Amino acid sequence: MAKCTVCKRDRKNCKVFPLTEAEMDMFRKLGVTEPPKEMTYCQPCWKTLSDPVSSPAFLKGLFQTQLKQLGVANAEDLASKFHIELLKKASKPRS
Amino acid sequence: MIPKPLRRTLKLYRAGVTQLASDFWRKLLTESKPLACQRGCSNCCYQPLTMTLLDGILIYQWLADNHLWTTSLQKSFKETAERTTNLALEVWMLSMIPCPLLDLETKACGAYKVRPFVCRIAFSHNDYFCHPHRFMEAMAGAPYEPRQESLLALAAMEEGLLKKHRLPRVVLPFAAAVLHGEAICTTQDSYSDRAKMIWLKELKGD
Repeated sequence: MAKCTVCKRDRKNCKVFPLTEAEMDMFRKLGVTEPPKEMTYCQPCWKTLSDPVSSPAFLKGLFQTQLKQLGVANAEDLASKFHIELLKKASKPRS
Repeated sequence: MIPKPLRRTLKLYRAGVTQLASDFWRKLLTESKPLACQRGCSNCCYQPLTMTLLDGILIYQWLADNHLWTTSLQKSFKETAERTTNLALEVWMLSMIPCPLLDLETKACGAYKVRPFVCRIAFSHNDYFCHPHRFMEAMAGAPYEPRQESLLALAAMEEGLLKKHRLPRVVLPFAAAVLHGEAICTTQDSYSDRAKMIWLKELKGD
């Protein structure tokens, strides 16, 4: 059993990805003094995040919701731009 | 084909659903607030949808009877079921996973005549809030009481009908419910053994 980073549920058979030093540094730059050493994803959330259509949609929705909660006036425009970038990335062939 | 022991139950269930939905709309339409719902809007078809096995059996049978249960539709149902089973509702909501029955070009429902009860009583006074990415904002308000009452009345009716078969009420993601409906209708085993096996498997959460 492990706690999924996305849905925060305790689930079996999670996928665990250790973070690199560079990734942990990004957390530190954001003010997280003790960054996580790994990211854990449950099977259902991993299916969503590894899908080239639903993953950008999910991240856009999450970004938009959080911006709105912070009171950002142009939250929807920013989220739409972010979504376009994510879709571009998702459609790029993996080398 | 719908297993014989379930036919009468499904007939009663369908009649009950029709009655509850018409009572709900009668109540809603007496209010003066205008509705925002219109043909071509499919925002609610991207919201998480769960239903029970009785609805699943009815929808599968209708699709099969009308020769709409095609290989491509089955594939779409299987993919959606794989993606939505055990998925947290808030993740599902934000992921914008379309209902497998939604025609993405015409934005029409592929089984409107037999759509589940939750879809029958879906409505909005402001379509801005129907988009899954704005739904959290709409959730801040109190739920519409007659809608909650109708859902509870449906659950009570269904439990009563299933009691005769000694089966519990099981709520599943939409696509999984229809696929189980197919399994119950097409199995060669005796209906009761197969149905009970599926029902119990879902209850255990396998």
